[in-house]
Amino acid sequence: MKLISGVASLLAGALLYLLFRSKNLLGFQLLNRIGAETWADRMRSYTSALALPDFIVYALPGGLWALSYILIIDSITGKQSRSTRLLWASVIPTLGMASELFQAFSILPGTFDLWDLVCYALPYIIYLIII
Amino acid sequence: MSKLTTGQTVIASLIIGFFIFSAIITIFIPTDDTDTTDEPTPADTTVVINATEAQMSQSEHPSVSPQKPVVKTEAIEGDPMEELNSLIGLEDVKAEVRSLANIVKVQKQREAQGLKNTPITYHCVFSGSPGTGKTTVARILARIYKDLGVLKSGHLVETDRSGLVGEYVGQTAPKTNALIDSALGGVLFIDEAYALTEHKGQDYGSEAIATLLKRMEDNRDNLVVIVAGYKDEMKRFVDSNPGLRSRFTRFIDFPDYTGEELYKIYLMRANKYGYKLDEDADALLQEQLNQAVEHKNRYFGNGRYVRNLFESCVTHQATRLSKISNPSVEQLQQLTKEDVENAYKSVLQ
Repeated sequence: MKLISGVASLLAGALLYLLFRSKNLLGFQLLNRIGAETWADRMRSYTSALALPDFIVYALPGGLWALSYILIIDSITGKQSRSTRLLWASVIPTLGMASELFQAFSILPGTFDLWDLVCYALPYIIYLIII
Repeated sequence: MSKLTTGQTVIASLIIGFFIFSAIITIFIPTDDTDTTDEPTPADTTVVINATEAQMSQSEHPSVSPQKPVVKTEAIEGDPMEELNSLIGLEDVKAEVRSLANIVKVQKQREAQGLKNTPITYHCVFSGSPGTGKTTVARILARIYKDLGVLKSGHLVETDRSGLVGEYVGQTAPKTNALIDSALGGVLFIDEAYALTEHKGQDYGSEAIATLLKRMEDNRDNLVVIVAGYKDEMKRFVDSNPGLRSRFTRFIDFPDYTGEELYKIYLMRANKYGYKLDEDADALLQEQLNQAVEHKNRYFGNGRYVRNLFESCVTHQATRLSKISNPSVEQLQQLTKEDVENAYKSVLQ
């Protein structure tokens, strides 16, 4: 169940990227390489009239990404001790938060956004509380 | 971590690797890609774009742009006037830009001689349909301003409503200010600027405009703002606020491309990537472009339409050639009537 939820969360985040994010991203070049660009373009054309709030387009995919990781990794570490589970689950959210902080200090390209940071942290905080 | 079995550790590590990979492909923007076909990205990326290339690269759904919010482009390389002249069509726009450059030049000469100058505004309104070269000309103008000493760096920060307006109370002014800070010494280009005033529901567009106007005043020596969008909407936008009306007095209108100009843009693109049209394809292309112009609506993508058409031609050529085991160089270069015909149908869909 966790695994399915994790994959679904990952797919939802990927879909937001696919439909609403800039085509300049490396991911779209990879799609192009595998010949899926036309398909992606067609999908984007169906949703081009939708103007989703910035939060959904820019911050939520990061949160879904972190959530997805936590769910998937927990399906492996689920029978371990709490500390082990928390340690493994912290890897990707920590990387996400670090990347955001690096952006704040211009170490990584991109624009720091507090909501991105919150979205990376939130799934882990919830996980921390519920396990 | 040691409590996991080796197998589990390996799987967990692979999962981490996959997630890192997925982050990389969704964060990074290849900087060698000069084809900035789509809207800006949230990453504040820096790309050097050749003006003619930019004119050629356009996309199909220009009026709707959920992606963005900011793209920062360094000052264009080479002679900006040469770049301007190399653009296909846009004769009136070129004349306007030349005349603006001349005014600035003479003002600078007068200043050097200790003569008084009448205040002129460098801020502009670029009005016109999508894909008519507004961003391209903004880049060129930024560089001209730099060369004439109006601006220090001549870079272009391109954004739209989403790059200026926050979602919640108190976010808009800092967001707008941060963006303006990044544009100091260059040009801030606000695409579809009319969206700042036409948004329905809870809206912080007016806060963004107030912040923008204040900064235009405070930074009048090192900030130029160009607002762009459809002609009627831009008129309404400027008229909606006395502050905007007094600061944006220079309008440059970008007309839609003619069928012949679109054909030239197509050929330029084909030539650049080493494709040739056979005689029938050439005739059909001209006919179709003329027809597209004749039946266009206000959302017609102009240069972007041509780009899509060209890309579609290339796709159909590839499909056709996939049936040939060893295509010759000529075959690899040739676009046929069939390719153009299929491409046109695809683009129409």
